[in-house]
Amino acid sequence: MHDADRLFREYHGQLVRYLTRRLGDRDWAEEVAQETFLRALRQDTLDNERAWLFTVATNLVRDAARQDARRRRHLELLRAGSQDRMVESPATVMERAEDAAAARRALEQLPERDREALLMREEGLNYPEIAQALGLSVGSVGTTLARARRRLVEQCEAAHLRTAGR
Amino acid sequence: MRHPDEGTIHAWLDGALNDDESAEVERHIASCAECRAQVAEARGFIAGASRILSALDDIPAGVVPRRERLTEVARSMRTRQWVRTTGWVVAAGLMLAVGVETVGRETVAPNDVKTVVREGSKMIAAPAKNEPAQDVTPASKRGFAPIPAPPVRRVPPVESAAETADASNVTKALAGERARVSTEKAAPVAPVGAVGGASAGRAALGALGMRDAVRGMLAENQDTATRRSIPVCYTNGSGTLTLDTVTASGDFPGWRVLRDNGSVIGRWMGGLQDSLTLWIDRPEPRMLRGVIRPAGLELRDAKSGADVWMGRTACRKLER
Repeated sequence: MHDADRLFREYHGQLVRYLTRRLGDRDWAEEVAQETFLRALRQDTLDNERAWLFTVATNLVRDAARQDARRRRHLELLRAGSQDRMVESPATVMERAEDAAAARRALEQLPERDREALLMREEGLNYPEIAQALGLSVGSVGTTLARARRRLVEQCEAAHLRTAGR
Repeated sequence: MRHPDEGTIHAWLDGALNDDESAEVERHIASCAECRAQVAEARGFIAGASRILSALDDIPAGVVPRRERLTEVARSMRTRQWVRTTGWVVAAGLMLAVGVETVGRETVAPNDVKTVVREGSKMIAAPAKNEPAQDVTPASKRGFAPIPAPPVRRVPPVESAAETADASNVTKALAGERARVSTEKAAPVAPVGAVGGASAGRAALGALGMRDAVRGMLAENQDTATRRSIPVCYTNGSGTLTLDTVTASGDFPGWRVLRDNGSVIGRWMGGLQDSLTLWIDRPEPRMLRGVIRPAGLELRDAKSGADVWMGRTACRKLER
């Protein structure tokens, strides 16, 4: 039996941040993280804890994302929310909201696997763990990450240029 | 060595290559200006991507409309529940006793609401919404023995007159429930909330999952504009635990918390079906599983399953 307390203590923060970035909603992220940990508690053994947790969490997110209607509402609300904040907030908050909206848009434009690999790497998962979680070969993780990082940065820069040009 | 591709450069910068591969890349880069430029560019992408993603951390909770998400659940739940429970509800002439309370945030964020089930017998007696529940049972009569510290001890609950009447009526009215209730009454350790109406209500909701069911009901029944912070507290005579709203600062900023007689001792990880998960720091760090009963809350150690604490729903504050 794995140590549930240690599991929670070591990985909960990473997992919630990964999911929050992935989903754009902290409550939702907490729910998925919680579901993930509860599933982990039911396991007798976990060979690679972190990869297992991220795999399960990612699959839960994918299941949710398949529900297209909800996903559309989610994205619409994200857009509406960022617009509201831009109208109501002071300049610094507005800038932050713009950054967040641009980052969200750029992230959403990445292929799903690239996006997940990038977010997992940001939470400290190593290449074998990412490969295990996403069903990739270890050798292709570097290429996946390189592509994801490049696209994310380039799309964000393009968005900022468009904003500045208005 | 040929020029390393972009993926290899990223893998090298990420420390994902083995010693031999790393040494080979390093030797090549030392003698290749083109690849050094590629490495510099890759460093920029790595740092830039991290910076961009950090912008996503400033995200409020409750962006996704839980009310809308749960409407379908609520509709489904009501249909199933109606089919399952109509018979005995009519026969008993009782109001199905599932109380809903919310533990939301200080603000009236429409989606940031958690739910628990309130004591069934109270709802049978007084099902009105939005009234502070009065604890009609004297503390001395409350049926939940404290289990604060080893040795763990559970004492069969002492039923109040009102509860006895409720249970009795329910037992008589609900033929289908009689055997089970009788069994529970005869058990050496009476379960928490072995009140027929509430138990049956819980059973009816069980198929879909208590949490979703209650949330669904909440989504249907509550006007978001009227939602307020409603901590729910449980007592066993020797202490009070409160599932409270988020804290803006303090031990767990941004988290729903569990308070012991007012002091934050842990955070609420959320719930699943009829259970919830708590992480407590005091008196010792550990994860607890909370089981929400119609009449109260039971906390068990997540690992061992051992009883830790149990208490009866004692209060709800409509406004703080």
